[in-house]
Amino acid sequence: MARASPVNAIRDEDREQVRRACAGDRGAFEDLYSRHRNRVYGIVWRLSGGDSALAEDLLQEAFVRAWQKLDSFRGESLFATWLHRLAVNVALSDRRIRIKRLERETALEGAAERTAAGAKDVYAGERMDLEQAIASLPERARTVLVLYDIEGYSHAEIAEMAGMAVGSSKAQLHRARRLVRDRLDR
Amino acid sequence: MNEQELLQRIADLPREIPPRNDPWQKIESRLEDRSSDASMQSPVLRARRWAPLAVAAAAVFAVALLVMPVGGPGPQVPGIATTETPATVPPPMMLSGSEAEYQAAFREFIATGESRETLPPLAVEKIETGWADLQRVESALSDALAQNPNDPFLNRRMLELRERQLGFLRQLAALDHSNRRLTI
Repeated sequence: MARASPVNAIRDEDREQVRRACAGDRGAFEDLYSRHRNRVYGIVWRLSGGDSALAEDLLQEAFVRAWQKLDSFRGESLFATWLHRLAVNVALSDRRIRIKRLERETALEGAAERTAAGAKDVYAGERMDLEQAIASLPERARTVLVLYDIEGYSHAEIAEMAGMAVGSSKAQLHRARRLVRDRLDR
Repeated sequence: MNEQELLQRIADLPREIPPRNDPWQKIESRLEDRSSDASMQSPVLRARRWAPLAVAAAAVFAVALLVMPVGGPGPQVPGIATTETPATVPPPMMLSGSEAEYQAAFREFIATGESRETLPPLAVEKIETGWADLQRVESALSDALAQNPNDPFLNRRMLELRERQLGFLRQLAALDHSNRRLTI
């Protein structure tokens, strides 16, 4: 089966909007936001384990950072590729802090159940059980499954972004798929 | 469910998910104006305010080294410890010693630039005025030496100026260190 690409569409029109946004045109940046909002939200929503409130915070943070760092986008990749990676980094760096706090304050199992319930905010029907299964995965396993199986990043890219070894990324993917299957087979 | 079935179901998941609430207004309120001075809030960019001064210092010293004939050691600047430079030391060695000394002071000078924002405005003004004075002297001496490269008086003045420049940088570095201790 062909793996998903990190960029689901080539948007040549981004380049002009990026150029104008770099010059301070907020309207152009809003156009970019409107075009990429749902895609970026999909990434951070899944990385946050289906926590809609957290995902909206991350969406906001990702676009604010994108505005701040727009000058560093050199057009060597698609804007969408650059933006998605930035959003992943925002989500992973934010989650690292929150997870540490969460682990100290409460049991991880309870947290997983709470975030899994967040899938109900977005889905109704047959996909919800899969999203809930993904959302209930342990953090690192979920990160790898979302980035590899859904977003199409390589293990090397995931290892770099998530601060783990390539071997760990592969092991976590194997574990994540097994846990999801087990949950769906119940 | 086998793994292929799972991967197929994952592949069918939508990549785009609309947020419940559109946070654009919150985002827009956080966007800094690119044309304002807000970008200078970054510590890195703040440090760049020193860059012209630092570049000027490097250029002045480099030019001075090129045009300066080797002479005797310059006089001691009061209150500043300097390395003895005996007249018997071969000229290239003396110059390289000055260069190394200058580079060390210059590195500290660059570090000082990063804490400029913590210095009182009056201190910053005095520093910049003092350095500009040294640059003017440097420029005048360089012009004079270009016309009279072997003039012993001008060469002594140039070495003296070099000592003053090094002393200036050392004092700036010392100010920076003490200022950091006070602000941390």
